Amino acid sequence: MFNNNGYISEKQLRRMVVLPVFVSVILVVPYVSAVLFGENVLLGLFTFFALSGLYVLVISAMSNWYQKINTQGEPNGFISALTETGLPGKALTLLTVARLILHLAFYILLTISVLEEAQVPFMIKTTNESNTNLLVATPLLLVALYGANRKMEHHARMQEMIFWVIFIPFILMIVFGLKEVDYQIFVPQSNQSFGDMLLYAYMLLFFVTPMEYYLFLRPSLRAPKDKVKQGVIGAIFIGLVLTLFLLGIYGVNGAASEPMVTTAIMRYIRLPFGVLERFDVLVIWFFVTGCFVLICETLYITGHIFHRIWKREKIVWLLVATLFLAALVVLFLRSYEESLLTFICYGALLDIPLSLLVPLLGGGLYSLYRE
Amino acid sequence: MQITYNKKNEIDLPVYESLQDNIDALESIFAGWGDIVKKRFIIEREGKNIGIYIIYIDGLTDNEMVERTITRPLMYEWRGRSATGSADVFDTLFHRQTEAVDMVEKETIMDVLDAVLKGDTAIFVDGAKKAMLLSTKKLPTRAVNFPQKEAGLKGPRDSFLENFRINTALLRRRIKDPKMKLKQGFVGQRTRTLYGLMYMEDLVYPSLLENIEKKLHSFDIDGILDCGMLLHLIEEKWYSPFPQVQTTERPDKAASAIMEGRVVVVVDNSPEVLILPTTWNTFFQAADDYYNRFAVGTFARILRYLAAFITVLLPGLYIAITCYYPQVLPADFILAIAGARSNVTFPIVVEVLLMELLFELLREAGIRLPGQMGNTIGVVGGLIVGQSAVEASLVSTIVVIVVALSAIASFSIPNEDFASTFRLLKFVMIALGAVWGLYGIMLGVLVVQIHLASLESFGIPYMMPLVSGSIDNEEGYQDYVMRKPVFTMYNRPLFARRGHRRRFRGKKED
Repeated sequence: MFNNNGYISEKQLRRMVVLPVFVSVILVVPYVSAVLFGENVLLGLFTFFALSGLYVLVISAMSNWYQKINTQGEPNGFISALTETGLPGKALTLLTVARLILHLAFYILLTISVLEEAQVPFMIKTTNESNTNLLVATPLLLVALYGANRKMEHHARMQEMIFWVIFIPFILMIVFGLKEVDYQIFVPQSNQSFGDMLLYAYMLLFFVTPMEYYLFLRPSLRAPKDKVKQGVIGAIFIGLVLTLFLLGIYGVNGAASEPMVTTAIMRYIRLPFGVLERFDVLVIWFFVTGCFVLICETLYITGHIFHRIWKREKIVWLLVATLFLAALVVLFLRSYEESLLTFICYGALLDIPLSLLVPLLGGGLYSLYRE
Repeated sequence: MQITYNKKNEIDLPVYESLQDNIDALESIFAGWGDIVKKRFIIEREGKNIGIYIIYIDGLTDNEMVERTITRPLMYEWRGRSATGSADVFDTLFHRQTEAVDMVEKETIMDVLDAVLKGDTAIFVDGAKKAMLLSTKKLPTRAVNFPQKEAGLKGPRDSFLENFRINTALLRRRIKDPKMKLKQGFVGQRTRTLYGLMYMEDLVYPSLLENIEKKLHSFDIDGILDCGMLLHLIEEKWYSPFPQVQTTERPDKAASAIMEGRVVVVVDNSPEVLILPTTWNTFFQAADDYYNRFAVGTFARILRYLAAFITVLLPGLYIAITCYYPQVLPADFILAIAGARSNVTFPIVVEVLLMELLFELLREAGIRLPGQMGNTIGVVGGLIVGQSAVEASLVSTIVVIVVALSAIASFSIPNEDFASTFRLLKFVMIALGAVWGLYGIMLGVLVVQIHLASLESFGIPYMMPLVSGSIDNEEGYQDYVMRKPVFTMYNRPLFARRGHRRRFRGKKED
């Protein structure tokens, strides 16, 4: 029989981490990689893949380390270790929450952009400021809140159900779009220095940061070993192959001028037998589901941290406050294209280093506290 | 005698030693009952006169049987046989003199009352502190009939009845295994409705059985008139539109559930039984899926899943696409829709709602009216009203097609409770599609998905096997959208206890 005991299965945990990473990569990386790498996109993406693989391995190793030091038979791990270390640990936890709120803000902005592409009713199109359309995204945010305010098992089951919905459009895209691909994209070109390539690949790491959810979720798995890191690396690989297909269809220069290239590409794909004229309008709903996954998962992780800090069952108002703060950040941002640059810089300078430093510092603090 | 009932509507009185006290108590209880039959007579034992009192309810009891097995032997055939003392008289009567098999002795008036109200006959003997209860039930019942709501082309044609014992017998007839147990009890203070839990002792999870029994004893209600009422009382999430307990009128389906390790709840006076736990998938399974060849069964299953999506989403999608995204459709089709709508005055959403409401009204009227008239309503409503509505430019032909398709699809779902949920959700999707277009429908679908992910039926996730986690759930997928050939369905689904899941062994394994 099934128990609601706060533990989930390995497959569920894998999907909870893989989904946001995949969605984040596939929705943003094609455009950013076209802008940053230009004609060198193949080698650039390869560098990014290597770097993101390393990032995944480091996070995974840290998660496993936290798992080993907390062997009290309770779901604990990273956050429990931080909260046990008193004020400095709590400060680090709050810093993590602040980072997650900024992530949420970015995902909300991304959602608004996708909704604009989807020509949602009541969308104002004559402005460059995404925040004017925040109201249109509000129902989705509320649904994400509903999805995030669940028990661990129920939330995991939800992600399990959504998993294939996210992958369907890409399978369709590959099936119907193969004939449109310019395979020249798969010929490696190198007119960029390795240093630049490494720097740009590092900047792209911001879109792989949902991997750190593994740090928070790992204690909910009883099995000593799991295949999450393999799953995430696989998802990044698939995402990058799809990125190459997208760039092969759209062209690197074309993609560099279209921030929502993943959604825009669907316009060029025709269904056989003339069933539907505009395939993209339907498929875009799968992308909106992807955005929902990003927001819902980030919100869930924030709630998970709140649970650990305050040890309270009902945290719905804290989630509402988190969402409100994220929406407030969005109000100060301009268009998606401009804000994307801001977030990439923020990611490179602060977020990615912090995503590695906070667990390291937390581990150090915990070791000192234990001694 | 003054009779007092406690909060549970029970009488706390023993069977008295004095026959007159017992008669007084029963006279008070049954005062005003026109259909009660009671007789006091004297039998002679070794020169002593011993009073006997018989009571039963006319109409519920087999009078002839009472006469043949009780009255006649006592009064005539065994007159003058030896027995000393009143207790001895009771024992002699109980063990030797009454010609019946199904007999018990009870020591409280409440037990006597329960039995008499079920159609048994109670016999009191002067000087004995207990009463004899003979099973003499002869309840009014109809003959076993065809299933009305779950008809199929293949398989058995019998269905459950309102009679509890016939229903348990229909299941016993199918499963001749001593491990199939039947636990009986009562619910309802006034109706004292008999229920029975039927399960395979070795297959069912003991915790599941415990949970069901706990649920059944967790409330006090005055009456249960059908298993539908019980269903709503034991469901975990009452606010969910999705049924968390399955009902069936087919004994073969119930027997199959028992052999999967599930529990069947038989309720007296109900022509359906409850099956629990249940999942989303079990509602799509029809009995004849297993009697047909696997390809046919699988095809039917795929059709039903498709039907569910059509029922819920088609009208909403039609509104969303025609109102907000006409560019999705081929140009010729858009022109055809525009042409069909050229004389229609109402907006599309009003048009669809009008037709949907009309259909729901016809459905409701068709159920309430007697058979022949119900058919007439279908013809008049479907053909004449529909045609007239189009001619009067109230609705367009395409909307009639959309609504009809959605209606037909809803009837393809084998469970009425489940199909009703889809019909209800359809209206939500229509509203969302009208306000937000595809975005609204997507939000609606997401909310339903989240809700379904949280739903459980007696500890089993509702969306099994889709959300089985890392559990090796090959058993779940073998009978999911695809129905594998029977000889490859080696194991029982997850409902069955771990270690007892093997149900098929091929010749090679022997």
